[in-house]
Amino acid sequence: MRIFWAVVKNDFSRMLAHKSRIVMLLFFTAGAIVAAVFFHTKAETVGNIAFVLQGEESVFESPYANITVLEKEPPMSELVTGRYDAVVTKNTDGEYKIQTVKGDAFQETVAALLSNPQEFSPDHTSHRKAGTNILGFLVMFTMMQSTTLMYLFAEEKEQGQLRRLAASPVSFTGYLCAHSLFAFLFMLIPTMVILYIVKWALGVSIGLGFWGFLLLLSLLCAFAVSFALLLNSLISKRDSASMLGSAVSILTSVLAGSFYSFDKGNPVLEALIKGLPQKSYLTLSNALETGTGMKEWLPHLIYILGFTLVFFLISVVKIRKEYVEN
Amino acid sequence: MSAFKKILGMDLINLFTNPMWLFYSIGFPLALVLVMGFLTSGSYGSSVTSYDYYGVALMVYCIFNAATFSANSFMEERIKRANMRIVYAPVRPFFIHFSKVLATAIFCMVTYTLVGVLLHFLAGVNYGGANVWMVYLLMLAAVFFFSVFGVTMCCIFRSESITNQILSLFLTLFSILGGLFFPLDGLGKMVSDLSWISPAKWIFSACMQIIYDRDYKMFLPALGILILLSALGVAVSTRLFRGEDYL
Repeated sequence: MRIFWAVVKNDFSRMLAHKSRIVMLLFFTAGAIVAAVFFHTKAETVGNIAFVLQGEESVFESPYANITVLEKEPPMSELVTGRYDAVVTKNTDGEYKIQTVKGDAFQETVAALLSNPQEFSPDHTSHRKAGTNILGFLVMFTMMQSTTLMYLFAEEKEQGQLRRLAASPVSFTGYLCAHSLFAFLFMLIPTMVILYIVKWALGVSIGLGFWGFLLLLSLLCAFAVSFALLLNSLISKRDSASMLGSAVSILTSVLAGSFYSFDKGNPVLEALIKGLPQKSYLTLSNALETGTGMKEWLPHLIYILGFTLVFFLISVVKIRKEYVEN
Repeated sequence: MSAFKKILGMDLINLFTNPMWLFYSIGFPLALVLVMGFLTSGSYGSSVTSYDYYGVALMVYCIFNAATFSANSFMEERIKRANMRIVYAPVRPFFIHFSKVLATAIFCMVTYTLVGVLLHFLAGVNYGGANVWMVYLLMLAAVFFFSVFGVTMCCIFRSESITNQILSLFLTLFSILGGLFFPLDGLGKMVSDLSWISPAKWIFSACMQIIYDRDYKMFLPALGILILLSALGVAVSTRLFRGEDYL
């Protein structure tokens, strides 16, 4: 037990020696939360629609579209880069012509909006709630941060302190637990504090209550830490581990729909996405936020906890094999 | 000059023989574009596909990562020792950091060219047809600038792990602000004005204007700014780099 706390304390003082790192960590956590809140409030429209009108004609207003009136047609590149989602021009006989690169389904949505602007309302069934949105944004950042926080362990491994520890009567499992606990607390506590500061400063609703966020964030941090530990125990070089970590974090989080949820895809890929722990995590938080029954979310909770446990166990076994048994 | 060639050659071998970096510079961009393109293909039509968007946008994002490569090839534990020995040798200190910049730039130019060609043939990404040389030149200049940027950051912060963390978060933030992952222009005038501070924004816009509008007004300014910033970065690194506190 003494050794356990010694490792935690040592990690903490090593962390304090790099103040800039702490500042960056706090800064980006805050950034992710603010971005999530910001996107959430803006995500309720169909898109940006440019009207090309000559003369004094006026355009209707709709809460579901950002409408811009232009004198002449915008260049094609502004459509491709998403500056405008659709450009509407009027024919000589008064008919609307819609130009878009976003496919036929979107064109029909815009046509529906044009034909009946007053009664139009977009399909919001897939729209996520505030809490899930915030957590979704935090998934990628937390995973990336944990790979960098694990440098405390990776450094000891790369610089050879671990070899000396192996020769001493220290429990390896306890040693790894200590490192993990430190990284876990170092992500969880600031994130919770920042979350409540943002809530207070912006005066927005964050969806879930205190305990809901504490539970879901603890789960996320625990998963992220075990992921980082696994990477650092399987890969001997620190840089490679952190690079692979960020590549995997970005790819899988985007795929799981942390930022946007993708509905259309093919069945094989969809099955693959369902297997991602991040996807389960988002489903879990959505279920908790909407307050569905336990049957809905319990399997997802077990799934993520299982991943966390398996990652941790593999790391312990791998490190023990490498250092203790040889 | 022969000393410089020798260091550069060794740096190149180091980069090209590291499987992790080959994965990160070839496999990762390819996978990212194909996955994002595939996922969002439903929300694009047939004239401009999702691959056309992500093939350019995510290429710019991956070019940002050249900064991570150069920072790592400059400060990696294994290479630090070798560099310490060069510091003692009668070699100009300029060679040490500039060879890393040049090696990373060459490495990324080769791997990303491969990725671009593969994407063009596999997913039919539109890189501008007859004007492809402009887009290519702009991207090469960007690769060079970000190679310089990584090393400059190392010279400023003098620690690999701090540089790494700052770089990766900085680059992610800039790419999101530049609208590489999803367009930000709908979020109001303030956000869209602010997004111009991100190089991603103007590099990406310049490429898209060349490809879709045959409009070249941003080509020379963007290229000029990249070259100017690269020169500035090299000057700052030369000023700040001191072999003795390399460690």
